[in-house]
Parts: sequence; structure tokens; C-alpha cells
Amino acid sequence: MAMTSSLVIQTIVNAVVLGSLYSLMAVGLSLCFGVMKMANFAHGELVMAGAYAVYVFYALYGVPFPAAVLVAMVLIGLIGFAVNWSIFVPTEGNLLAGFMATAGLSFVLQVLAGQLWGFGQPEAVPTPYMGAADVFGAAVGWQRLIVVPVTAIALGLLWFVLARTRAGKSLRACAQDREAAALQGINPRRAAAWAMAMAGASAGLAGALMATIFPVTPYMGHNAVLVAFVVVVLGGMSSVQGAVFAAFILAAAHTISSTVWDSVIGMMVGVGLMALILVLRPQGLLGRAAS
Amino acid sequence: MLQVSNLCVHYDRLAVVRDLSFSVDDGEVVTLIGANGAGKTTTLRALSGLKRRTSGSITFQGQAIGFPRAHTMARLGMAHIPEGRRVFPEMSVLENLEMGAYRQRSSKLVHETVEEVFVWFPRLKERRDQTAGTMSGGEQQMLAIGRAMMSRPNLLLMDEPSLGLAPTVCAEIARIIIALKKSGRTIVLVEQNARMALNIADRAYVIERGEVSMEGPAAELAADPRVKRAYLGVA
Ligand SMILES: Nc1ncnc2c1ncn2[C@@H]1O[C@H](COP(=O)(O)OP(=O)(O)OP(=O)(O)O)[C@@H](O)[C@H]1O
Ligand SMILES: [Mg+2]
Repeated sequence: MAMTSSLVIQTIVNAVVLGSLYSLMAVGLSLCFGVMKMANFAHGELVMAGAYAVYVFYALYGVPFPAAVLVAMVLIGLIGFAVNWSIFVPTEGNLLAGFMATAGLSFVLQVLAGQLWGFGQPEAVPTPYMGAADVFGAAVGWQRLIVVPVTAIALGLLWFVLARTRAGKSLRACAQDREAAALQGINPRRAAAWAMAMAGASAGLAGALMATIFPVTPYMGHNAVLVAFVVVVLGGMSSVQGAVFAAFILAAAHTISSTVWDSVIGMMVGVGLMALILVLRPQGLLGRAAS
Repeated sequence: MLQVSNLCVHYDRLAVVRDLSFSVDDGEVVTLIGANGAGKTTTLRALSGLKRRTSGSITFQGQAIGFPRAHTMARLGMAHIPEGRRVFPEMSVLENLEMGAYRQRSSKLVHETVEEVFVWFPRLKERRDQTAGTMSGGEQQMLAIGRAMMSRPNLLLMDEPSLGLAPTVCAEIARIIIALKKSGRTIVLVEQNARMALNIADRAYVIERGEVSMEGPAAELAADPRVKRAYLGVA
């Protein structure tokens, strides 16, 4: 199949947009895995909840789109906080118990969304930003393009918090050595609460941005959680930079193979890539080898 | 400063520390010596709140201590330098020190304390931006001690600061602990290197299978034939 230059550019742009969404889906999962050594199987449902928040506030109540996105981040951040308090505190130190409990929660949230808004037709969210931008000769819809700078700002903010602020450094300290962090006067449970709130906010943002691009359904978390886990494993489990890096690699592999073949093969290529990288580098792309 | 009475600690149903009592006065260096698995680390972990004790009482600075978690004990002024140093491997030397002063919100005071620690450890100053995980064992031990000093603690618990270090580096660490003692700091020093510990400490407790088997002034214990045979490798 011959690719015209406009198709090449279209593919690159699609990969960058998808990579941005994948990053937002994965950073929270990776942060929590680092800080708490817990895996949240309901992470995909946090993305789904973010999409429904935009549907309710923007599409139904007419709140301006940017405000609806912010509301989604705050609300889903609070849900993350609640998940920590109700599941991860009681199952502290038990990865499998936390994983199973959040797996149960993911079904509950799917059914809840279905009861509230229906299982059938995907919800229609009108496009907030009409028209298309001309990117080197390829037409790209604004509502897709907007994902890239918003993600850049969100990831920049996350980086700033983790690298420069006292609270962010305490999260990194807990991720690197929980006991040693506690010995410095850092409360690991408080760090966990912050990590889950940030995970919720970033997942909520991913869902909010997806709401205008993809169908909003109770089941949209399935794909999100699969992608998030693949990305986090690829990136080296608890490395946030690794997750971002892996998100763009996976998105590129997915977009190119979907363009050349189709999207089912795209997903297979993504998972195949994960298996290949894990054989070559069991600690993931940027993970540190177990010592 | 610290009174420990009838401390018992279990892992599952196994008693690892049994009826252990000891005390530390202000400005004193007390060492706990004993063989592998005697329960020294477990004792320190029970003091700093990393491990919940089964029974026994702890009085710290005149205050009875319940069952606080580790971050609360750190806030009360107890700094535990854990076995194996446990620096934050992916943080810089400076960030590690900053974490030691986590409770201090005034960045000016944190900065002043960092400068004080750099006077104690000029090596850390040279390497302030190095990633802690890439430093040598001796440097990491200095960082672990410096990090603990950042909170200006009233009591330092040191778990095997000489572990795995070459003899010259051991001697350097010993000099630092002696200097800390001279500056009036109160220290509980846990060591397998009994010779070094008895040289530094004022008083010593010998721990066998989770119990105190001997206690007394360090110089007296160092001269005791049983201690010489069992811990100092003298026939
Ligand atoms: N997490 C744990 N779970 C079960 N048993 C443990 C645990 N940690 C320590 N123990 C056991 O408790 C006993 C005392 O261990 P501890 O680490 O306190 O000894 P130690 O005196 O510090 O020894 P060393 O000189 O080797 O550091 C040992 O028998 C050890 O196997
Ligand atoms: Mg020990």
C-alpha cells in the first residue's frame, strides 16, 4: 500500500494524539504502582468516569468544555482518593487482594454507568471545537489536536510536582523505599492518598479528552486498562517517564499497523511488542533491574 | 532519654525478642552487640515503629510510647539509620538530605542544616548532585547518617553502620561516630563488629537469642573473657 505524504503526516499526528491519551491513561497507574506497590484494575473505569463526567456536564448541562474537563479531573481525583481509602488502605501490602478488590469495583462501576446512562447506544458528545487545522498539508480535527497541548501541560505539571515540590518528593521517596521514607517522618498512607488522587485526576483527564473523539460507553474502560497495563509494564512498572515513553512507542506501533492493516492487528502488534521488549529487557524500557 | 522494659517482638508466632530491657541516658552511646539473628535489628525496628511490638513498654524523653507508626516516631525526635543504609537510590545526595528534614518546612533552616551536615561530611558536599544509588557503600553510609542528622534528632539509632565496608572505611565511620559522641549526641549503636562498638560506646548490652545476656560498661565487657571468646575472636 503506497502512502502519500499527507497520509504519512496524518499517521504521525494520529500517533502523537493517541500517544498523549495513552500517557494520560498510564501515568496514574504507574505512579500508584510505584508509591503503593498496588495495581488498580479499576483504572480503566476511572477513564470511563471522566468521559461520562464530560458527557453529563458539557453535553447535558451545557457547562463550557474546558470547565467540564476540570470538573472531570477533580471528581475522578476524588474517586481515586475514595478507592485508596476503601480498598488500598485495608488491603495494604497485599497486591493480589487489592487487584481482586479493584477488579470487583471495575464491574460495579460499569454496571452503575450502564444503569444511569444505558448500555445500548454510545452517548453522543458534540464536538466542542469545530473545524480542522492544517498540519503540513494534512487536515486534523481541532478536538483531536487539542489533546496534545493539554497533555503536555498536564504531564509538565506532574513532572514539576514530582521533581520540585516537597509533597512530590515525598511521593518519590515512598516509591523508592517506603520504610526509609517513613523513618524521615513521611506518612506513607498520606503519600498513597495523594498518588491515588493524582492517578484519578490524570485518568479523568484522559477520559474527558476521549469523550469527544471516541464513543462514550460503560465498557470503554476495558481497552483503557489494557493499554494502561501494557504501557506501564513496557515502561518499567513504576517509572513515570518510562510510562510516557512507552505510551508513545505503543501508540506509534498501533497507529502504523492500523493504518497499514487494521485496528485489531494494531492491538496485536502492541501486545506483541510488549512481549518482545519484556523478553529482551525484563525490567521494561526505563525500569531499573531488580538488585 | 530511653527506657525499654520487657520488650517482646514476634514474627508470626516466633518470639524474636524476649523480655529485653535496657536504657540509654542523655549524651550516652550504648551499644547492643550480638551474633547474626540475635534480634538486634528487630529491637531497633520495634523502637522506631517499623515493627509493632507484642508487649513491653518504651519510654522516650520521659513520655510513654504507645504503638505509633514510624513517621510519628521520627517526628518525636528518634532517627533510625536502618540496616543496609537505605538511601533513596534515585535521588541526588541533596534530595536525600532534604528528605531527612521533611518535617522542617522552612527552607532556610533546611539549607542551614544541609551546610552543617556538609561540614561533618565534606565528601557529601563534593557529591551533592550525584545519584545516591551510584555512590560507594561508605559514601552511602555517610549519606544515611547525614540524612538522619537533618531532622536534628534527640536520639540516633544506628544499625550496623560498618556492614560490608572495607576496614579503612570502617575506621572512617568509627571516627565519625566518635565525633558525634563528643558533640554530645545520644546514640544506640547496633554492631556485629563488637571490637569497634565496644571501643566507641560508654555501655554495652550483649544480646543472645533475643535476650540480654550481659550488660555493663563497654570497657568492662571488652575485658570479659566470655565476651572476648565469643565476640572478639580472642581465644
Ligand atoms: N521479616 C521477618 N520475618 C520473619 N522472621 C524474621 C524477619 N526479620 C527477621 N526475622 C528473624 O528474626 C530473628 C532476628 O533477626 P534480626 O534481623 O533482628 O537479627 P540481627 O541481630 O539484626 O542479625 P544480624 O546481625 O544478622 O543483622 C532472625 O532469626 C530472623 O530470621
Ligand atoms: Mg541486623
